[in-house]
Amino acid sequence: MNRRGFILSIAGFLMLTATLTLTNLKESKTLRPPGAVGEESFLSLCIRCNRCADICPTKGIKPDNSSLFAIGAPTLAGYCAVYLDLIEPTPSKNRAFKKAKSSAELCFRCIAACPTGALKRIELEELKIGVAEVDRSTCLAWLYNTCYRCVDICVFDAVKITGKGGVEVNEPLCVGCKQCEYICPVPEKAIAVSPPHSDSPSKRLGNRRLGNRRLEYES
Amino acid sequence: MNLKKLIQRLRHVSQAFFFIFFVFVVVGTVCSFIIGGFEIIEPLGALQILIANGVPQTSLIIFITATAAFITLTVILGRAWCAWACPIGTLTEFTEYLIIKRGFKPMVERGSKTLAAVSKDRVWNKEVKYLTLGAVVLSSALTRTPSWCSFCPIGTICRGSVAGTLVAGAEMAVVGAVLAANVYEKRFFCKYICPVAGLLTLISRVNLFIKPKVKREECRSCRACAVICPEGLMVCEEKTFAECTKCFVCYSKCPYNVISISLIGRKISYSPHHNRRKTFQTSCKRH
Repeated sequence: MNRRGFILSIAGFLMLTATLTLTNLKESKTLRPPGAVGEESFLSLCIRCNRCADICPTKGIKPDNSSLFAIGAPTLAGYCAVYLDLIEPTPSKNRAFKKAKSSAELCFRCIAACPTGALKRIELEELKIGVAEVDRSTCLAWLYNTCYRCVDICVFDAVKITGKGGVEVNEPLCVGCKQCEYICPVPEKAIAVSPPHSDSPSKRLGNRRLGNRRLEYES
Repeated sequence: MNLKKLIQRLRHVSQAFFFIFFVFVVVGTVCSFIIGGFEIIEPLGALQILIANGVPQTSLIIFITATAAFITLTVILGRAWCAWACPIGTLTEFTEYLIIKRGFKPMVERGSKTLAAVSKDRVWNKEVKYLTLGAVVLSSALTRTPSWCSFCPIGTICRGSVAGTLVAGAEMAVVGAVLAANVYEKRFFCKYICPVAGLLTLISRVNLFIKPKVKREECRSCRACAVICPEGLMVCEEKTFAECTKCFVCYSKCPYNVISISLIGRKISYSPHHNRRKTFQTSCKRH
């Protein structure tokens, strides 16, 4: 190898490292599948194999192509069934299902499929995909006191009717399964689920290390 | 149909089978999938996880056996993965076929160059893929993310089916670039850049089985093998065959039919140069 080739390959090496590093640096804010252990350690464990996406019975998990960062990591684009009986949720079915909830079988196939533990085995009580929020300016319940589909479909009783006839989300009860968002008849979705934690996306490098260590401490 | 054509037919059937298997059928992608109850994890993904996160937070036994399965296959079969199963390899060969069918030649082979000149004129060095591997490892350590996985064209192809269409997102640009690079030189990405190929080459250095064998006394040193071989190996002078993808194209296309396949190949001894020239001269005299 001559000198020119050597310099070129070193330059290429540094450029590729820089590209790969920069494009993986910024934290993306998307919903991850159930069981994801915090955004930082999730991204460091996920090998983007999309087994969770292939196995999801509702086809709700999709590779995330919304931003240039963390391309291919799975995101919950559709809704999560949580229970095997709720693969096709409807308001009436879910209302009837609520009584049999305690003995019903959980789905969590994505967690079982994950080869690296980016999705961790959890109990139902620990499930927190995100938190639903109601947009009062478009919600039919707040505008015309009708609809209430989200109230019917939520099997966790997280969506409640308030005194004025509007709906509100009880945040501790909400698991963020997105079934309410799926059933919402408003085109731009008056009820929408956002990620549970909203840390600042900056200082990713330092945060990463701290986040991982903290996780090891807890477990 | 003779064996030379049959073996290439078989390879194309295997490629088509695995392409359909990985893109449309299997749960997961090449990175990690289940075949017949066996978990398999592709070693580059596993390596990046180890670097990015330390210990994976899953049952370690499955993780280790799944990675070891792929590594064992590579030790036994060498880089056979690249030529017989890899979806990007299949697409690459298909584009290559289309390019040649339309009457184009890869840019390296153009002009009135002789075969020997083509192999000498290669600007790119095959060690570049170790640099890519190094860059992937370094940036995985820096960002604590399996950083290659977001870009990996192999993973992209397999994930595409999940998104509904094969054209999903900006990542397909990488696949496009990989396929377009074939215009410059055949299997450009696999030969020079792919970090998976780099890792598999490192592993297959200990591989002993299924290697091309050159009949020394009949070889005329035409060096066509360096252009025929998709990996750009000079088969008649190669010693270790760590980069050999077991595609048997050299066996099928050698102009003098001097390449055979030895199943249990010890390291093939390289006969001294003057010896071969002598046999070449004697064979010339005979004609």
